[in-house]
Amino acid sequence: MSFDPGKRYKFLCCCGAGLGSSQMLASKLRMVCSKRGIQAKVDVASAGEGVGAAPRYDATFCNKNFVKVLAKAEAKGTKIYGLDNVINADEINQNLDLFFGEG
Amino acid sequence: MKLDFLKKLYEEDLLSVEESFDTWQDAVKASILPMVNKKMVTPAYGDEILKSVDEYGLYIFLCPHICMPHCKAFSEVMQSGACLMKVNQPVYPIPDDPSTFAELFFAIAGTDADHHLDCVQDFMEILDDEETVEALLQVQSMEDLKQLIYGGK
Repeated sequence: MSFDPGKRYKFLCCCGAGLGSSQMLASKLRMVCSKRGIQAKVDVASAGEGVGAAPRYDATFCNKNFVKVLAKAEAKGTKIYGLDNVINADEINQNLDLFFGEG
Repeated sequence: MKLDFLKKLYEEDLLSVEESFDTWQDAVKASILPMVNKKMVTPAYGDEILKSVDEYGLYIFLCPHICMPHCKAFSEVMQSGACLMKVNQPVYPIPDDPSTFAELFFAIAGTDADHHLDCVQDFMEILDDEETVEALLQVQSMEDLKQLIYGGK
């Protein structure tokens, strides 16, 4: 879906326990969205919870180590983006580009 | 540069500088020692982190240069907090993978999820500031650290 500035997107950030890297990722993602004028609600969850929760979100971001755990959610058609560097704004930007370029 | 949090860590003996480690596991266990010494976490917290990595993969290596040892073993944490260890020789946890490594180990521990989050955010402030991270990477000794924090730029 191409970017719709009127839409409030729902993004999920996952990591092992919803405690460490997901918080950092969520914080960076919020900053990036704010800079790009993307309205977004960003939540965090553990990868385990993420499997169930991801289908309710427009896209889910995580450290690449957790992509496997979230694979079941991806099979249901939800978009999962695994990052090498969860606190790198450039990589987050690139994945957002992918998200808006697809579908 | 974001030095306030570093100053606080220094004054509370929560900063360390080490030369090198044979394995990344040794590095992780060493990174939490200041908190063990201050009875903020039990010695088992380090083992819990390693168990967590066994289960979830090397999630603690956040990005080049940065490792954030942490896990949700709240029962091993008596007092929430964080400590920072600089290792002069970069630690490479994956053989033949030069892209995953760290010299800065920001270990955090929370008594519960909320406290854990506070510690994460304290570190995010430093991590967000390239100048501070660069300066930390240049540090080779406790003297250098002291100079960085108190010498002022």
